[in-house]
Amino acid sequence: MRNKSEKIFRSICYTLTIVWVLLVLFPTYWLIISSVKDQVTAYKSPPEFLPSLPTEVLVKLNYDGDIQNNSKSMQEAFYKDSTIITWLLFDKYKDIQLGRVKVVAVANENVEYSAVLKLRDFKLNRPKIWYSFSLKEEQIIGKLDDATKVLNIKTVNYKDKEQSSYKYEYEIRKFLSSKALITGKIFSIAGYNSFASLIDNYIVALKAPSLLNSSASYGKTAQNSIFVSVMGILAQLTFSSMAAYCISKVLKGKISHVMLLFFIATLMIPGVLAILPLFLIMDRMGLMNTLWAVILPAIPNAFYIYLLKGFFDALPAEMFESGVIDGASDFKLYTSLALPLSYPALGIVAMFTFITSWNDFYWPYLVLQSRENWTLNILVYTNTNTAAGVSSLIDYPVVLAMALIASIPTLIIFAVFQKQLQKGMIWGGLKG
Amino acid sequence: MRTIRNIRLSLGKSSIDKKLITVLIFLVPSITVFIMFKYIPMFQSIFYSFFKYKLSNPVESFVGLKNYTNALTSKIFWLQFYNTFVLFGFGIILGFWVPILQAVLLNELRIGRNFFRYLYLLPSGITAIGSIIIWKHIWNPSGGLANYVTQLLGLGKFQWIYDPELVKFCLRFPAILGGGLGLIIYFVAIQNISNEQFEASFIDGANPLQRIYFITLPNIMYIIRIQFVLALTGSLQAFEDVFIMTGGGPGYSSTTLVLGIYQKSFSELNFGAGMAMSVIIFITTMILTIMRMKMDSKKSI
Repeated sequence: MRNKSEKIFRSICYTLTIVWVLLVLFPTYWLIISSVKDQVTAYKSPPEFLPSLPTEVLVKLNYDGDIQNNSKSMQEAFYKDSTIITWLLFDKYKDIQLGRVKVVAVANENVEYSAVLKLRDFKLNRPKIWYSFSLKEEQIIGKLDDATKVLNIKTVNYKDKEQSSYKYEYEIRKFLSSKALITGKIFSIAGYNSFASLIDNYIVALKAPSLLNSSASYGKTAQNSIFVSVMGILAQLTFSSMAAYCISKVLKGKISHVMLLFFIATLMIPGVLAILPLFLIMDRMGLMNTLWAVILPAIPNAFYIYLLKGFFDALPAEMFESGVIDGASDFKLYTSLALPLSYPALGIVAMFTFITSWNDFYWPYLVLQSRENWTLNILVYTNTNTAAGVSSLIDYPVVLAMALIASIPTLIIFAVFQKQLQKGMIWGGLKG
Repeated sequence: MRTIRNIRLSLGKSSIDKKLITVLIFLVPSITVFIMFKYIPMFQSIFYSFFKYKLSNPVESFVGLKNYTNALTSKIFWLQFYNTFVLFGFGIILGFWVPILQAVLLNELRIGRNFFRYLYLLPSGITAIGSIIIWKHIWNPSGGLANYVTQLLGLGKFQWIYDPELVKFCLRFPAILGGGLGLIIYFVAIQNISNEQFEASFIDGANPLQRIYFITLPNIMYIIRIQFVLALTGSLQAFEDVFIMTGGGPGYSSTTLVLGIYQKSFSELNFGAGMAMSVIIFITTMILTIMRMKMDSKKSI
């Protein structure tokens, strides 16, 4: 009966749902957008809602004149000039989203050399060159070799790209002209979109932790997280399915109930009651600061035992009876009958165990004291607190990039396995 | 196989032994971890809460109920209790009804229902830390989105999570977005409602609002009640998001009970007091659960 009020009602439902879906998606969008900005832009007021592409600034230097004939000294001059220009520009212009600074040397209308400094290399190598808030040319000269190494200098036959006027040309030109140590004359300054620079923050996110502490690279931390989760899943599947199977099929009657109660009673225990003694137990067991201190306490989980027991109960009894008649042991029944049939349920238990363990933060933060044992969440959290000003290696957008990279596995699960997650919620939530 | 069967029949007693061994193999691992990592810690908490716990000699000084009386008479403890309660209140007011409404609306859609459900669930893929960090950014007084929006609306700027008055509101505000697995619970519950009731309401000429009020909602009341109790007992343990977003600050204005326990234990190294506080939380949870069970049994009469 599609009358008018139904139609109006339905369109209200659609409108509200669309609005709410956009709201739910917004923080994720904001996370992604902010992670490719630079620190200053990320905190700009009013905020930039749409992503703006990073820029590649191209500075063309002219070496006609005194240096023209002496190609060796031109090379030296170019080395010095390009280093100074690239580093100074990155340091001074922190809010125009510089992705690349490219310096090109022209002599006799032939393009001779080019040098490029990428944002990510600037960020990663900056601590090596200077520590104070802003850079002076003398500091660059002092560490000239190190600074030049980061550039990608080559002799080229450079093709001129379409030149459109660049809004910061005047400002940059004025800034550079005041720098006495640059020998070449500035011929032109142009700006281009640099798509490739969008991933710079992510590359910094992956490489920076190992710069801060050589034993705690992003890779090692990810490895720790993966180890904890995988071990946790294996243990959970084994322990819970065996206990559930036993309660469901092996034990009968009262004792089966008692066992189930033994496990389920733990659901009433608030986690906080157990944490302090657990901490001390881990210490006494000598497991403090090892990954096992994270894996082991997560294994006892009555929820999964309850879930799997319900699943096993639902399996047709005749199958097991005929198995018993054939003389199969309980263990054989378990491995050949119950387990293969329960792959979907086991898959769901595995997924939820993974999500829980991947999101776990405080307990690992408590027990894992050395950096090389950290899990991803601890790494992200620590860097949030220390993401200081614009001059730090890991600034805020980089932390966001770290968090986003760490979310990839759970994002994949929520993107690909939604049907299974929903099934898991049915089994778990509706049984009350 | 036959031989085994014959042996089993003739040696009746050993079949019980075999069964016993099987049971042990299946259960002992789980029983062990449950005892080691759940039951023992629980009893230890209760036991040590009566002592002044020293790392060198745990049972050094028996202090009886002193840890409890200290906690229950401490202003900070009651402040933490109050904070926890206020956080729960904001959570309910801002966010408890949201997934219910979203699920009801979602159920009313025809085309695109799966699409929207997919989008609702997708952001849950961001790790908890990730979403807390981004909200911390939104609440940032300088350059954060929240102040941008309030300025657009002409309401001026606020200090948000750095303001003792506003911080609890900020902590629970994201609940208003809804979505995620909480939505799925309600959505699935609604899907489970038998169609006959809806068809009957059609015949009776009910309009959509009546349909929702008289059929959809009553049928998911049981889930709503469960979720409410879970929210209540869960809020007593509110900790991680508060810790990451504000660390309990400014001052003590967002310190929850559990956060207080950790401060007492790991900053002040007073484990005995911490355990006493956790026992208090445990008792409170038990009381609430029992109250709920009583209410449920009353209702069914």
